[in-house]
Amino acid sequence: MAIPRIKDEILEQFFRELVKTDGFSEDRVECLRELFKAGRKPKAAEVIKKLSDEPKEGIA
Amino acid sequence: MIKIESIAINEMRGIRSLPLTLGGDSFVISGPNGSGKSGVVDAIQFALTGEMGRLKGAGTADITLAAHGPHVEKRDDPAAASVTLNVFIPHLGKSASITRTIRQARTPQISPDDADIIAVFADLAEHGEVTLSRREIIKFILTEAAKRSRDVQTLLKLDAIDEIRATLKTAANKLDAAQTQAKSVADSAGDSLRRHLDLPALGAEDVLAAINNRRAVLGLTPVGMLAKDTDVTTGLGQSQDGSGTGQSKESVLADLSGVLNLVDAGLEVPTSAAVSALQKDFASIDADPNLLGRIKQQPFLQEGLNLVEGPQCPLCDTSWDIEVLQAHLKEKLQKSAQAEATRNQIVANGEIIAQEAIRLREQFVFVRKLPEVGGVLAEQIQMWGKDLSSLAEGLRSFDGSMAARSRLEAGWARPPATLANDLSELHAKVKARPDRSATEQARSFLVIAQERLATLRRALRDLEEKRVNAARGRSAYKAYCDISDRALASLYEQVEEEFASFYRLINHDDEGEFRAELSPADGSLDLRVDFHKKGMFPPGAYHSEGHQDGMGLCLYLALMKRVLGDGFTFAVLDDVVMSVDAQHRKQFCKLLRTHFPNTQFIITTHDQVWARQIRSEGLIGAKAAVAFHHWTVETGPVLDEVAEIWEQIDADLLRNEVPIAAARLRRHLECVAADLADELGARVKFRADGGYDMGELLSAVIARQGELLRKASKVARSWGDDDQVKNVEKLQEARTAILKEKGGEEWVINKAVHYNEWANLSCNDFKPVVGVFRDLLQQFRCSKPNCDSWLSVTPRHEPVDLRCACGSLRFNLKEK
Repeated sequence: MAIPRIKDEILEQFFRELVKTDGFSEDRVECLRELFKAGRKPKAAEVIKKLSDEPKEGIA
Repeated sequence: MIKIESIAINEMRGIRSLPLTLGGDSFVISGPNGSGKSGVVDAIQFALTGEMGRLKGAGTADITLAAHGPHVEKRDDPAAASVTLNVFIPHLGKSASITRTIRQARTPQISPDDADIIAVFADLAEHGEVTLSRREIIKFILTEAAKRSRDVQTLLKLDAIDEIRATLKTAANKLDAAQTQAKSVADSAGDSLRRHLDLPALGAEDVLAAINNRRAVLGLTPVGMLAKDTDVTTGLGQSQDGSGTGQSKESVLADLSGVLNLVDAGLEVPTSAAVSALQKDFASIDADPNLLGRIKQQPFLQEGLNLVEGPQCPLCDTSWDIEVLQAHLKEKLQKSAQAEATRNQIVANGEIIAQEAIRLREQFVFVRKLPEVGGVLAEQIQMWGKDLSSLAEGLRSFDGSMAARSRLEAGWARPPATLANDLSELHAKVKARPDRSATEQARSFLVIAQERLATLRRALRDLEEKRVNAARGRSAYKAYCDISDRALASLYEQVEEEFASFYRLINHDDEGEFRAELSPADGSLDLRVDFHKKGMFPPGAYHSEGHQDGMGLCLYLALMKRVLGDGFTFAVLDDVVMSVDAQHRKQFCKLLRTHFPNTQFIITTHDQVWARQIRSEGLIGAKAAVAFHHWTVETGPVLDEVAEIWEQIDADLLRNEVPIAAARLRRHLECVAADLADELGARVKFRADGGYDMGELLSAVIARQGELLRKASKVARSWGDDDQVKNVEKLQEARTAILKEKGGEEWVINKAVHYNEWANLSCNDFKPVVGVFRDLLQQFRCSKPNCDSWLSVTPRHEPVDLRCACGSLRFNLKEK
């Protein structure tokens, strides 16, 4: 049945837009896409993790 | 989507056993209230979704599908309660059936075992909105904007969009907060270095100058530039005097001056705005005794909503329908919006004070490490630091902020009583330290500078990471908002125009220029409608209940058309137009017939006139209806297939039951005479009570028919349309023959007026009466079986057209 999945269309556009946005590598967008894949309702903490860089270690 | 060919319901709700044949076409189920119509709606909804909307929602806490879905006599036998739908799936070109029992509501039997067919039923199970009651329709119209947004989004399956938006917003806010905190740490580290260097600001040139002055004292080469890895102690060698402790006389004096300035300026000054805001919020809570309760309940509800993952309430384990439970919690959350805003303000302002408390604690840490500090002051500073930590921890929650209310109002910092004096004395003692040699001072200066520079670099690097993360969070949130806003705005724009055009079609006589505005904003969906070109208003402001019902239907249809497109092949309308008047119902039929020709509508109504109109307007075929006469608990609905009236009368006469046939003919003529007078615009003497006599109406109808045919003939001649002239003449001749054969109009009218005598006629005497009315009425209707509608004039005022619903009978009434 060809019911338009508006939510999915919006998400797909969202990921396409993110790839073109500064600070979003394809890998990061893929991780986010995985997080929001059909049926998943990720928590904000999971999203924060995917949006954040790993802390850099080192001596000043 | 599907079209229903037939339904078989057994032992479900008020129904014992009910087979219905729909043939994939629109169908009407009529009957008085309590006759079992809604049982059919429940059964269809159950077959498709495994649920019954009527057993969910407010006021149904003690009612469950398992216990109350079966017929009351079979309440202990849920396996006996079943419904089977035989359907045709147009886009697959396949027939299929689905059977559910109450016992195994979640596992329907689908035949054939075809993946495409199973997918269709799985999709339908998520589209409970194909069955619609008035209660659901009106909620699109008479509701606040935020709730309308949710309802419409739920209907459109768009609620997940808002959930994702909320998740991204929370993530962005938390990343922003992390950046703010990192900035605070970096500022503090910068202050520490600046004080040590004794500079008004950390300009690169000034920093280098301060560093290089000391390096020159030690005979070291100057540092050329401050790179990210520059070590200002390069060439210094190992410290011989422990001067890397940050406690050189000059550094300590600078730090002590810093904290003394803080004390002099007032420790709480930086947070005065936050404290004032908190006091206002505390006053709001005092003024509204219920606000505190709602604030406390709000996070509980939010957490509860997050925890709802199965059919049990996460708190009390009571069984709920998961969607109903979620909707219930969301509604309660919405109602506590003001509480949430107050709560958030209190937590945000508490956080500001908490951060300042931590900053204060950090700034005084060095004091207790000074050798000049006595045990008492050291202990006081330590206790004060612990107190500030504890205060900060409390202020980071709503309850902690409330608990700290009196302290916030009286002064939250609470430093040791003699702090200012102690610090002054300490400053004097440190100042009295013997001056070290210039080289010792320079060495110590550089070591401490390097330590503080390293701390600042770490803090700045962390701040940069947090800044990038926060920017990423904001970008993601903004991108999602922009895209979803555009998608929804476009969707709502299309829906808005379609909604208005549908409504104009229904109400073309009095609101032919109706407009509507659907405005999405911040998770709400505002609806404004035109009222007779006097402006745009909320739909409940001036429109009647009937008009609001019409709006609800039009909005529903527009939404479904957008969501399902060609897939909108099926809908159940459960008593949805009870407030719409007769004239507008006709137009509603026209809307469904002309704009949704491929949609099967199953319509229930308690209004026999409306049921008849649906047929006469050509929305359903002659036999696509069933009438429930009454209902008993033992039998369920007692019904008649709606057969052609003349077949019923013939059957009566075959049984020699003249009184029954007479009563049936009389009722039919009463209804038809009123319908035809309305359809043709017959002229009758106005009666305020609407109590028109059947003879009076029939007379007016027959006269109007003659008048319209004469007009049609004249018009056809004016256009030189010879074929149409002949068509009209044929009708006129047939009309004359019928009337003449039976002694003219007066005979007919006389018979109609004296219908009370019919019951006393013999069967042979009554048959000619039946025959003449049958022939007469046939003159007014289309003979095509799929149309079978009455002729009617359009528009009603100054008509230009006389036609049937399908258009095969059509006469122009507008002269050249």
